[in-house]
Amino acid sequence: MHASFDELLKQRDDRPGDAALVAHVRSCAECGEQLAQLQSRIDLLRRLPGHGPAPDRWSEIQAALAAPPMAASPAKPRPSWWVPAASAAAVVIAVLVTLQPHGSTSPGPEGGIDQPTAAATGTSVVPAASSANETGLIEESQRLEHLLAAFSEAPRVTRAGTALTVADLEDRIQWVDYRLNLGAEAGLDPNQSQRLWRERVDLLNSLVAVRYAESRTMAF
Amino acid sequence: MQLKRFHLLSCAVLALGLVSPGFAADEPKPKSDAEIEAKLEAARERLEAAAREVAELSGELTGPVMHDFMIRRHEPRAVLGVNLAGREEQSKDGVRIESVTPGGPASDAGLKAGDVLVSVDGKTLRKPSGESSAGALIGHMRGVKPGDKVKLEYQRDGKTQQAEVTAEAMDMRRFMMRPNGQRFEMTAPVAGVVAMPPMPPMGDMPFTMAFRGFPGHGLHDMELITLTPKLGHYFGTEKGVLVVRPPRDSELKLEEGDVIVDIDGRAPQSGGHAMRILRSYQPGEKVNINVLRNRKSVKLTYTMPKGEGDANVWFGEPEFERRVIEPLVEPAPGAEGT
Repeated sequence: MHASFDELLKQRDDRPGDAALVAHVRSCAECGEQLAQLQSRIDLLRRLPGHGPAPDRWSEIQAALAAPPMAASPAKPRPSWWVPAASAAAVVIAVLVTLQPHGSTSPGPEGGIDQPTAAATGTSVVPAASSANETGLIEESQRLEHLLAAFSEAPRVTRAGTALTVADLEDRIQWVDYRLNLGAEAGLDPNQSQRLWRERVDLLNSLVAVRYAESRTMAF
Repeated sequence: MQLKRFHLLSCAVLALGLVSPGFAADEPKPKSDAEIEAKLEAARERLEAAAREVAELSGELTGPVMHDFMIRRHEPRAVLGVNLAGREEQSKDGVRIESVTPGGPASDAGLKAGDVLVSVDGKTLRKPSGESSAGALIGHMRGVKPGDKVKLEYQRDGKTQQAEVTAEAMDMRRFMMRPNGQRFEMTAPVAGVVAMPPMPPMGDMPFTMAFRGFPGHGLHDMELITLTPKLGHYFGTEKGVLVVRPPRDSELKLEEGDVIVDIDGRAPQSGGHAMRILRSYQPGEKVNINVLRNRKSVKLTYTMPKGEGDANVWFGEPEFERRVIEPLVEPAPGAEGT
């Protein structure tokens, strides 16, 4: 009896199993050919270019982060401190969340971090991303879209779970945009509009994180 | 509330850190590729779970923005996937794009935030003072149907360029509508759906839009490659995606080296597209997949598993009134009031 497909895969992957079966494959022309095909197939796949980002890609992303905001209304103020502050806040709060017992982090005035808590960790208090005004949120949204463009090429190897997560996040952003569009016609009040932009920034942040991780880990 | 949102985002940042080389440097060096791979897979899952959780909770915090307006809007609408700058910012130069929906039609056509649209289907958007160029574009889009091609002329960096964008409709099958504070869930079209049965008075009941989860969790570790012409020649097909890692824990019996040619007639253009097709199925629905295995055609049938919380009824189906309208009129036992 010839070796099954699974058994041939095991032999190809150096998990030979039954010695008699190994001997059979060595002596059987048909099984040997199947095994050679499987081996050449994987060799072919391994010769595919990896999807790892170009060596200078991350520096491009860092440059993009440092770049001035994209087109926006000149009439409105643009807080240039917002992005680095938000990034720093993300790290600071992430550490706080990790180090503090569950539920002990309490919001300070206007949704910030308790001053004593921050002081105790040797960090300064910075405004959270969620407290940015709409102009800042729109600018951050544009920055994140710019970052996403760095991952515009579809990955050569797609992990199903990652593809589903990306699709889910994109659909959610589409839904936010749909509401922003309809709201522009219906007349959203500033608070409603700001909430939608804040959600958009959250979603884009998550999407950038997932796409970045995907690009870093999907080299074949 | 705001702090909670930011904590969630921070967790996602941490989760990303878990897959970064810097974080791994503090841990004992794994002994084998298999261990590294297992750690990597676990890190991916944590990251993706964190991203989904951020998205879910962020949406809940946004809450029932303009729900009344949305519920009353029934007609389908084609979208380009752009947000336009506020009308007060419009000028005689055209309409500035404030943001572009990732993965949307405008994004696919190469449009970016900051581009200024100057014409649509040959009609100028450079309006004299007192006329709204954004309004002109919105008015034009009212006559566009999903699937229609829209020709856009835009300016970027001082140069005029053209793009053809295929308008899309929202895929409302992805959405559920969740009355806040209620234990039951339901699906509803809200916006962009053809038919909407009569609905009972809902008073001030607030709604939150929710997304239907993908029930095929056993497929998550599957890995796919889009066929190039050379690969396609090797495998004996011009289209499809190659399975390089089959799902380990799934009733979908794909094998390494299979080429997914089509899913119920829909040919996947990429791995991501294949997953978008698969997730369009509802729990319990059968999926027919044509694959090439060793250059021979094989038909696989897969039933999308039913997961927790996935027992939703899509709007417009026969069971709609029984499963959705009734709970609205008489909330399920134990449901909290709103």
